[in-house]
Amino acid sequence: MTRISAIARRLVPWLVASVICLVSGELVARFDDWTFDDIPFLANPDREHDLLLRDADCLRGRPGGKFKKYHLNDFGFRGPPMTMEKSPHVKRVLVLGASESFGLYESQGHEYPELLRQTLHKEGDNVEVVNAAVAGMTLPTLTDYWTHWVKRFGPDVVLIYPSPQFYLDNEPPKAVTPKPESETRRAAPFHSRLYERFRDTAKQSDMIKSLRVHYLLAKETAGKDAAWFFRDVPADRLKQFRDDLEKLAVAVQASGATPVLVTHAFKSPSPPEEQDLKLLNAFRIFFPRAEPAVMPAFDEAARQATIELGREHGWPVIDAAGELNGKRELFADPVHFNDKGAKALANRLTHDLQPILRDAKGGS
Amino acid sequence: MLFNSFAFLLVFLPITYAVFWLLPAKRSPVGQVKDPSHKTSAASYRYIWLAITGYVFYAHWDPWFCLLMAFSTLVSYLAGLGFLTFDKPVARKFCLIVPITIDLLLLGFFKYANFGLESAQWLIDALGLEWQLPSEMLVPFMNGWQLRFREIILPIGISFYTFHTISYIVDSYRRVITPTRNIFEFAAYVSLFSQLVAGPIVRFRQIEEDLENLAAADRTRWLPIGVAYFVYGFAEKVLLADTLAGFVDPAFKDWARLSTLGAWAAVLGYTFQLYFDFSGYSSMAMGLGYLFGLRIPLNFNSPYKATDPSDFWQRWHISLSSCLRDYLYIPLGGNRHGEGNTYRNLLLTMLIGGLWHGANWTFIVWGAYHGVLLALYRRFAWAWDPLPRLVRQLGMFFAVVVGWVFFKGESISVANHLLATMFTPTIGDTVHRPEVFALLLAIAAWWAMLGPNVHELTAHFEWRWRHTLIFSVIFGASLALIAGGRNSPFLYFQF
Repeated sequence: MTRISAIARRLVPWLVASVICLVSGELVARFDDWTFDDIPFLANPDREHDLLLRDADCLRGRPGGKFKKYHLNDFGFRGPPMTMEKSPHVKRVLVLGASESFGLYESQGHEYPELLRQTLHKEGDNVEVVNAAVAGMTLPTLTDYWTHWVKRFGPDVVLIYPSPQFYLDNEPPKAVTPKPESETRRAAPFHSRLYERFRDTAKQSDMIKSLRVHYLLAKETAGKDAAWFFRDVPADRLKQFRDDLEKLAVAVQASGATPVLVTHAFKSPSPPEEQDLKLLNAFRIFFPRAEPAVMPAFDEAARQATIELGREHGWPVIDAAGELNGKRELFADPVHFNDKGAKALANRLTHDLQPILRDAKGGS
Repeated sequence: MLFNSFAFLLVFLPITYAVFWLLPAKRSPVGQVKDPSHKTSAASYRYIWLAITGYVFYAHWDPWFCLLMAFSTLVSYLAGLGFLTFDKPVARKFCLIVPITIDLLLLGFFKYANFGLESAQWLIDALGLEWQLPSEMLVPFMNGWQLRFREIILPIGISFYTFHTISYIVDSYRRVITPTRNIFEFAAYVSLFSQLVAGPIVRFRQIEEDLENLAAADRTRWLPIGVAYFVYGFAEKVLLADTLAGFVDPAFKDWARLSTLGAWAAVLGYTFQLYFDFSGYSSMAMGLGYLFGLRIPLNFNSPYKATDPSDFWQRWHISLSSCLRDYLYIPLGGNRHGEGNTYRNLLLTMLIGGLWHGANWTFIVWGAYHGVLLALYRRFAWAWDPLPRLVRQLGMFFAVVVGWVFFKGESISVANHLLATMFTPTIGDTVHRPEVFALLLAIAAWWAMLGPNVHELTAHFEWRWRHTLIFSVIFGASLALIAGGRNSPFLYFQF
């Protein structure tokens, strides 16, 4: 007992100090979040919980939602306050897309729809830009979202920036029709903000990233036969992408707005170079079926399909991919922009959008 | 690699510390003095390890610049050997002038070449001449097997380690110190990671004794005070400076939109951010020195308690101001040749001091401003000194705050705009969460202007249970902020 008590006497102060350390860290993490990100002290922030609203019709942004740097307005769109009715003599441009358009890695206020708004204003255009993108939204879900929610805002022009990579997922994308929140919503459980901070920091370590990619890929691809993998551009998925994009654009046009298709930009060229393979391999944790080279190849094929679709229907197409593909300095990951990339896209959109805006008749 | 990063705290420091103290250190015979007859110092293993870790630490930023530091170290080491070998004045002068010229040329090239080109072009344009100088200097580098050129990148810490080597050369020439024959000892001194990239500027004579006795250093004697200094500096840097930066940096990013209140808030915030950032780094450097048996001198002694310009410069960045005094002001003549020459010497010294901070006219203006303050104080001390202490402290603080506007401003016009905003009623933006910022500012002001500094807190330091509690709280809070991405590089890294 003497030996045990001697060991305990030495360990207990360290244990107490560790507990004090952790409690202090947790309190400061919460205070820091409240100070700089407006997250209530006792809240348990959760991205899906705080930013998404599910009703019987569709999935959309939560009105007034807040999560870290992401603040939504009263209609669940990321951006400044607005009214449902647009002001007279103002053209309303609405952006539909997923996280590339919602904004992920850019600094606050540097996502491309916001920059587009600023540059159009600087050019003297009387234009309102609404960022109606929702992170993670595939084309089928976007069509529901448009039909049940977004079209009531009567945009003149709708920029559609689709995300082709969802079509390389294990299963092809389908429209999500979630149950109403009253049936499913529960309070987000308690989780330690300090732990989240350490976890996110650890994920940035190259060594941990590497191990994580290796582990996740092995888990996803275990037991799969060769035919399961996409070694070339899957023709059926490409066709589905084209069909889904067409469905959405037709729905937009039916409301009286002008659909403008924007080709999706990708960080690495097709075929990728040696320096791109590591990043592409890491990106595979989201799309394990696709071999690294297939991802940029599919994106390039989607680009061609988008251009063809626009030509067929007479819809304007802004070939952002043609200008931005392969310019690695513009991207934070294979598909998401950094501040520089968002600015480059915004500039290109400004240039191509102005003649379209002059001709746009407006939606209802 | 920042002191306030996980890579340093969890990997670099533990390994460096453990290996250092596990290395076999041959004890020096009692009473041994430095042996001029080429005997290897008893602590060579530890010198080698400190030198290696210094280069590993530096290589984390840019491995190629290790070669530059190694070259500078070698040149200064050879100069020291020259002073040991030669007695003739001509030879000694050669050993003084040539290495210092090389060091200054390197510093001048990397730090001031583009600034020089810009300023020369401005002057040429102002004179109406139609000469076009190159827009920037390019330097060659190897990209694999290909020779390429790129714009000049300022090697981190070059201003600091250059001053280390120059002070060593001058002190050797003046016979204030005996140069060392042990290249590892000298390399360890120059590349010591604790002060390598942002000071303090430690003169060889200040740690010569500790370096000589490295073999006999007592780990347990210095450990508590080393940890105390390090954690205190950690709190200054992470809890205060980096948190203030969260308010100050966004405000300065949009400086043109600030209101009068916003401008004052931003400038006052920066005043304390800069102090705690640099003081925190210096405290950490001292703590790290203690952990390895080296007593690094104090660099900040509560400068915002100063009551006049002379007092301020005996409290702020003490290592730099004392170098400027000993190697510039006094050789220029100091105050020994009449009032006019004294004012000139003060102004010149502070101009160089300002220029040392960076290649921008704002630093030169800031330096000149402090030179003028020192001259004015010298002239009117008879009127200033009898005033109540509080009045003098607040007056000096106000003067320093105005000076920081130039220090922070990207250009003279930005600084002027900020000053105009501060002193004429302007409507605009203020800082985010002003109520939280005001509280933080009040805490910072109390700590800097009234509270004890690290030196006062750790005088006669003995570890108690309450220290464990306090340090646990500080450490936990700091780790939360670092993990949240709130750790910014030390402001003095850019110099």
